[in-house]
Amino acid sequence: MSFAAANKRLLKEYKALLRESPEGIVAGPVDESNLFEWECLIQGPDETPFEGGVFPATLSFPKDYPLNPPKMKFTCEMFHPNVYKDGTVCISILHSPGDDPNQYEDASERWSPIQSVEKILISVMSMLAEPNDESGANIDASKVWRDNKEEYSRRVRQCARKVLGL
Amino acid sequence: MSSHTSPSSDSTAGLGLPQVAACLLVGYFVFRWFFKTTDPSSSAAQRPSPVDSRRLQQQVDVIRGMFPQISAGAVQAELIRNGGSIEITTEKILTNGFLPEPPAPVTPAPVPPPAQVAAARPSVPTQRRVAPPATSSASGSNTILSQYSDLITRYNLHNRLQEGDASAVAGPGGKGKAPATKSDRQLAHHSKRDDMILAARRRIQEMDRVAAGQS
Repeated sequence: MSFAAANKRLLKEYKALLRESPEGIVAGPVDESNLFEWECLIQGPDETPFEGGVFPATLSFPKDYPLNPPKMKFTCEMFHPNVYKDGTVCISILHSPGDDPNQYEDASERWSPIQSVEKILISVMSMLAEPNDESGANIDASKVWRDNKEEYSRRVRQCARKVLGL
Repeated sequence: MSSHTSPSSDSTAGLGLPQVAACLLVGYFVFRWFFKTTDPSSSAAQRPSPVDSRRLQQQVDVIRGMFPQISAGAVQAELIRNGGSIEITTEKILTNGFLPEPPAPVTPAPVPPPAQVAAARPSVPTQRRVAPPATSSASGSNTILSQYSDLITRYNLHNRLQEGDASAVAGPGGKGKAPATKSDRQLAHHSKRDDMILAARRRIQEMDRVAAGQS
């Protein structure tokens, strides 16, 4: 029952994104026979070290989507305080309202069924521009970002070029 | 007389009938037990039952709730290895600080349907994973990152690298109606994706040229 609902909702979101997607975002199922695994691309926001880059990620949806949020994982090298070294994104919109691992998030910031793939990707995009120093997922990156902005920019730009094969 | 014969006939009937009934009952349960145990085990050998994989997924979620930095694959492999004990898995993560990654490389581009992954994992020999390459997971980044291929290779865009800016303009834009069929949608999605990658690459190259010109 919820599986069918999830399928329907995901197809709807996919079609909406194909029809009109926000600037700098591309997302869709890897293969439409399985709507629960998506690939997406996020463009690096301008005026940040990520500028010009395009960062691929996967979204894995739970069978009870949209009751619970998908998991997002970058499939490229990332150097960002809120992205774990394995690529998993740590951002409040991807936390279900029930669990609050860091005990500081507002319920309104967290996942709810009125959110969407589009909103997740926009949130992640702004997270790239403005890391959240309260939830460090990559301690290395957090330190460098806090203490040495120049080195942080250099590392980020390096990642951006690597993804594009430059 | 009748008082003498009736107890004897009663006693033979009383001894015989319950015994036969008990035998039948025991026989019936043994029979059922055999079928009950052999049936699910033979089907479970072929594929993990949905209940099991759901339970495994729940356990993975519990562990990942505590240790989000450990990948789901590693947690699942560990749970399969230790017979689904959350305690052992937690203990292992706390003492080592990590879990060895399962040997199957996680290639992100063609993600197989989850059912296949679940079916494939248990068949992977578990022995090899017991000895973790301690350095690889501790230093983390190097091993994980090296397995990513760049987007040009991943989506096979080498033959489109020489295209000019025109292709980005000519390509189907983000607006309009969504294609009606599955294959058209896939095509539209792929062309959007590829155009975005190529445009970004051109932009960085352009930025490089500007930077080179200034210096």
